[in-house]
Amino acid sequence: MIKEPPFFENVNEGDELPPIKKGPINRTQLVKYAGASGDFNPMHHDEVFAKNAGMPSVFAHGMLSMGFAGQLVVDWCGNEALKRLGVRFAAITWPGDVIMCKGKVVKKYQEQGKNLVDCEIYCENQNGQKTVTGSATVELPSKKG
Amino acid sequence: MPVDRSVLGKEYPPFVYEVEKGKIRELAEALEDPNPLYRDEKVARSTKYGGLIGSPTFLTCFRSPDWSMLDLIKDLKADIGKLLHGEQEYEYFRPIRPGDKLTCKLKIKDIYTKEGKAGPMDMVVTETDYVNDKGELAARARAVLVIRS
Repeated sequence: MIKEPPFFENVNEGDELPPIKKGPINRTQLVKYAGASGDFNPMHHDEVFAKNAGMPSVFAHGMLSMGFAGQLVVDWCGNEALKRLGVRFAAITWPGDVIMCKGKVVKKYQEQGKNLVDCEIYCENQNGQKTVTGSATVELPSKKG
Repeated sequence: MPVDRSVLGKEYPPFVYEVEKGKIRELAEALEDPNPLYRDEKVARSTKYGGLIGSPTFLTCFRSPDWSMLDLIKDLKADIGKLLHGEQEYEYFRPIRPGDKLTCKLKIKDIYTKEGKAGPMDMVVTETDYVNDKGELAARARAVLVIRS
């Protein structure tokens, strides 16, 4: 169902976002992602090409991981609240990987009459290696209306 | 080989992207994201959103029919095998809905060199504005491309 944002008053620095689990990633998902996004860089779907480029296999688009990070934040605060999402791609996601996406509130503040919260977010694989690190800014409603 | 810095400031031809609900759904399916706002028109209509909307990374689907990132890589005189997507950021000002016609303008905002573990890397920053047909800025994207030496 549609996620309603938490009230600003009920959110505190240090609060954790409910984690989400994605994957295991498989090659069919990479092909679906290539088709959906229009990113046909062959490194993500052409095993022969990827191996010739020195990679052990095809690997996921970075933007697939950013999509997971977006889901993490929206599952917590709803779509409307999300004002900024930024990520750094830290490590490659491979077929077979299981990805956990996690985040926490690091800053709660008011700016130009808006109730804002900054979150740190990351995705990590089954070995605890971070594949994506980033941050999100969300605007939350107040109980005062 | 370092990238060709003469493309700093280059603006690629703007293009208009018309948002289709099937594309919103297709991306959500590839992401395995069950959020009904991307998939279920009936449910989405009954919410405050009033209908389907794009997911946070939906803007990644907006591509010009006339040029692609491969042209940008060629302009930089970079090898696609050395290219990594380093960073991506989106700022959201208005929801993206089916039927929206957004004018997308990408420019090369910055090029700089950074020392990496395996030698210097060229960092190329692009910025894309997404403007709706009322002339309002709906979203802005910033990407950092890394070209390994």
